[in-house]
Amino acid sequence: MDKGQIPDLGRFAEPALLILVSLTEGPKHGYAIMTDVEAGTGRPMGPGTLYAALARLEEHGLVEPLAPVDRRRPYRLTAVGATALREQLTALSAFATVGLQRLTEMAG
Amino acid sequence: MSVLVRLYPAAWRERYGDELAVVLEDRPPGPFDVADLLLGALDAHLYLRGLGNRSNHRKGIPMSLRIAGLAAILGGLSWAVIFVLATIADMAGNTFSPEALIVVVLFTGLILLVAAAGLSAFQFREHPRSIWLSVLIPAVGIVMLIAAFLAQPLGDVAWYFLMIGLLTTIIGSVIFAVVTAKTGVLSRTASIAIATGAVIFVVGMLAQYSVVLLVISGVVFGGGWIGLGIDAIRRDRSPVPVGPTAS
Repeated sequence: MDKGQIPDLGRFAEPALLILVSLTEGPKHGYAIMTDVEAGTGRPMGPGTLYAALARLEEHGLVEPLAPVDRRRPYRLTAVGATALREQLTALSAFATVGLQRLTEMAG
Repeated sequence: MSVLVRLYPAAWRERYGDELAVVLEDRPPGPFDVADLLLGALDAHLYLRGLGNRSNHRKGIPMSLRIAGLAAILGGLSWAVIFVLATIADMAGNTFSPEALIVVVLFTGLILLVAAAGLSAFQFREHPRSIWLSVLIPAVGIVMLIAAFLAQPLGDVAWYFLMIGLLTTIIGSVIFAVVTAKTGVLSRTASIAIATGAVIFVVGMLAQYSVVLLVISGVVFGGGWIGLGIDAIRRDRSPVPVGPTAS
């Protein structure tokens, strides 16, 4: 993977991005991530998808597990994860800006 | 540990099993979650065998509204086509091959079951019992349809199984439609169409297999599922906020 980029996670790319954004708020355990993502997007994230994406993110060093609290293991964003997320969101933001600009030109 | 967690590979369970079990205690799984976990377990078996060895797996199938939406569209279309074609064949004096009919209805029932499970995510928190019923009743119907297929040499028995399979699919769909309409997250119009199509079907059956009513019921019922599917896919494609999420 290129430094500063989220690796290609195939169909888990979007859940992974949502998890990383959720963890920008601070460490969270699985259930807290699910409810946060659902509240933020209005769309459900199932537990199978959550852990498939978490396993991939952990494998690539973008998130790291912390010591369990009451059997609930929190995860936090690593420095690599934060850099990769910033890169991804900046690219998305630039892409959205171009799209909105073109739409404005089209309407005008 | 939940049976669903046990479906995952041992190496995976050793690392994530306990915390996944706690998540399932915090949020008892509905049909959407069960489908998602089944796909997750399959994904883990296919791609996570090398856990700890930095495997390079990239693919997987997360359960999503898109899958459920596509299933609803396909199932609704298939349902409407069955009713129209069977009726046309009947009017032309041709009998629809029983084997083909059972296979097509079985396929349609299975697809609609996937759709109901996938679209249940929003409704489950408010109406858990009804949502489980709306999935479990058609699941019994699927067993009946398989029995119908196997009982074909017995003649009329297969026909009874087929009718039970059809009715359970319809009853499950009606429960699902009512809950969906009450919850109001997905299209109420499409939900009402499903329930209306089901009522017309029953009236058509009581009216000595009224051809017109059965065709209308098939189109309205199938159209309702298609509408729900389109709504789900539209929702799945809605822009994802990239800023901080709500806490």
